[in-house]
Amino acid sequence: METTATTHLPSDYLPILIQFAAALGFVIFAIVVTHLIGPKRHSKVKDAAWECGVESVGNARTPVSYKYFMTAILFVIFDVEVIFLYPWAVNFRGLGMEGFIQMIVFMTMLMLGFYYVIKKGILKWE
Amino acid sequence: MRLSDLYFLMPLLILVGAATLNMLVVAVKRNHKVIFGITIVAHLVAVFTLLQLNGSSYQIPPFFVMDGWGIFNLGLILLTSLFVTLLSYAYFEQREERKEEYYLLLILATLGACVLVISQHFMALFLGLEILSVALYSLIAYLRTRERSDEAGIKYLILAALSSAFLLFGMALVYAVTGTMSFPEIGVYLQSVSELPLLLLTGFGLMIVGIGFKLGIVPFHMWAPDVYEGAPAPVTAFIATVSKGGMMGLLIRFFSQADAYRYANLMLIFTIIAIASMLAGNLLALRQKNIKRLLAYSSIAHLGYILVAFLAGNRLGVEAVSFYLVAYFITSLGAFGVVALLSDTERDADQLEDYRGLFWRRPATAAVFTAMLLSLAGIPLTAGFVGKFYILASGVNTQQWLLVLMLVLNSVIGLYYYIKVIAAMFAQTKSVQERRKVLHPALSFASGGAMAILGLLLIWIGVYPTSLVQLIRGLLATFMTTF
Amino acid sequence: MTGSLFYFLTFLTLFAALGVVFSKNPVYSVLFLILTFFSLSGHYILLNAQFVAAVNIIVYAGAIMVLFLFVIMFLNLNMDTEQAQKKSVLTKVAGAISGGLLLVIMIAVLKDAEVGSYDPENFDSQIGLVENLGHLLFTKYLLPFELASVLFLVAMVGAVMLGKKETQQRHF
Repeated sequence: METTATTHLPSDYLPILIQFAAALGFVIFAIVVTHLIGPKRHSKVKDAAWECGVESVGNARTPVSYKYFMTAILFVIFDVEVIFLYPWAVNFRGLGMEGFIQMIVFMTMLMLGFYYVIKKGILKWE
Repeated sequence: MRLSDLYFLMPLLILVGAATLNMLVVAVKRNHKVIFGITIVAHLVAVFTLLQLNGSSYQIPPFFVMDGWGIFNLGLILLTSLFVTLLSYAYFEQREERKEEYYLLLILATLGACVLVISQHFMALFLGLEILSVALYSLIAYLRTRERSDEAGIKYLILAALSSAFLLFGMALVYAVTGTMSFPEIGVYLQSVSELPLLLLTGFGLMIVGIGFKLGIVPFHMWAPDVYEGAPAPVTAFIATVSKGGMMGLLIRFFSQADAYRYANLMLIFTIIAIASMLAGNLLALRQKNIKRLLAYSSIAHLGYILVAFLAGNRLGVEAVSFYLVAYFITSLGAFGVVALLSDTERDADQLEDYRGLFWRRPATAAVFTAMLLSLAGIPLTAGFVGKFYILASGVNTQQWLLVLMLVLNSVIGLYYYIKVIAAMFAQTKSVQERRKVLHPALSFASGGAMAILGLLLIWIGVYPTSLVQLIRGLLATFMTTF
Repeated sequence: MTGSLFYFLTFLTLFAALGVVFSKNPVYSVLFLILTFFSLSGHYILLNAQFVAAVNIIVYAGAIMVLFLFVIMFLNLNMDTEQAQKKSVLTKVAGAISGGLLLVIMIAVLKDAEVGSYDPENFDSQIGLVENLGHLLFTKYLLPFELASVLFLVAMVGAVMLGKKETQQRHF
């Protein structure tokens, strides 16, 4: 199929694909080769989780604070909101004033939510 | 999008406005009274704007339709939500926890149900359903310090999400076959094919899972008792009424617009579901000692009754569904309202023991509860009797003898456990002790007034059903002109 | 080229999705899930829906996966509790039967289903691009778009309500 400047087809992604392959290939190459040619020395101290640090005590699997989770949930919500902005921005000229007002309404709802979140101190870390 | 669309969506816009206003007030300063006032006013204004739309039939293509059926359901949902709000004030005032977000979430849940009943497109349907569900997740787990609230919230969250996934998959299959997501166009497609394609049948089947979950009908009823038990009493009332009624409204709209009544397969599925719901609901309620769980099983059975009228698939059937929904909403609100009234700060009054000898302690409350239970059982002079009679009439009218037989049989079974509760209330107890702290009379005025109105409505509709029937007939004139 | 790419991506998706279910370690499950999302994004690109592909990677593989990892960290996944939570055989059998029934139905249905009406003459390969998508979203699908903001609001308030620390309550 002929590709011109106005048609976008999956085959246009070939250069990106090649770059991905090159990046991945180099990483795999580097990891494998260092394992093969590097010297290997094992000892009890050397194989510890933190070789040169504080001796590890207790269990690593302790529950984390819920605050990380709250922040992450709010991040997801605003992340999706930003994604809605993208197709709007591309069509900004075509949609005109009407589109602008529509987006303002959408953003106002979310900003009011954001105000509530801030006021309730969710983002405060004590 | 036209400007006149906004006029017809005014009740919904008012709800959104009230929710954001509530949120801002909560953000600035918490005040239970102010939030309660805003919520009441918003509901009243929304009902008022809805009255202006009466008699109109308006399309907002392709998503919404404002016809008689939609307006009837909107009115029912808004008024029910208003009563739930009235009942909530005294209930939450007794509790230490934050009370204000409750009203905010309640308004948004109501909005979700409103979107559901006027949608005629899968996309609007799904968004409405999700708004309703997400608000309900937090409402069910609202009283976090309670023993069972987390369990109820998590159960509802996981099962609702799973059922939404089924619903979405079903919609995707329907879309794959028909190439459209709007109900009337699906109807047009169905006209063009001689028999139901297998893929479409599977799509509908998967959608029934999602719809059945929200309606709480067998075999998708497992969540109902646990969630009813764990949720705060006003929220339970909301789930039993608005959430189920909204889905029922949608189901009837979908079936009439897509004209899916003529497929024997689908009707068979719903017949089996209806019979199983009636039987399972009533039989499981028999040995139940917990009032909230008992009412949960009873509501499973009642949705089974409503499905009998739904299966009639004609105008009389839709009238019967409408009438029964009104009667069932009033009765459920009244019954859960009593539970909310009797609850104290530690737990809800959900044990049968809490009601033993109630009549001798609080005669008025016991009288209202008795009336509600008699209506659930379908005793004459209550709204429940007329509703059941209407359903029987629609069943006989379409010669569904098996369903009619099951309905009569189950009404008899149901009588047993309703009477059991009533008998407990009139039983003499040795030591009459008032263990609860009596609230300030002004505080419980809203609850008491709401209960009195519900009781009067129940008797009024039971004695003089003509006015309600005429109202429903008038509204349905703009819906289903094809029948 | 496109055909073989499709089969490769399909194989990768199915393999990764099965890996999610069969991994004993939940962290591996999450990693397999990320692989599933990436290969699904590959499918979207093959369908010329680049915007959806990007969104899938940003939201699902990026944001939602972080939530998954947090949930795993909330769970108590020590070896001793893991052993105690063995599923009963009955659960496995019931799951296999109900899942298998769905599979049988889907195979029976899709075996001879006629799906979609694809018209090569009028087919617009540019339909999935961000301009066309945005144009549709802000004209025809405007109401659902605004409704989505209400949905975000509910989610936000609900999460804050459930997650916020009470004065006398201890969270972890």
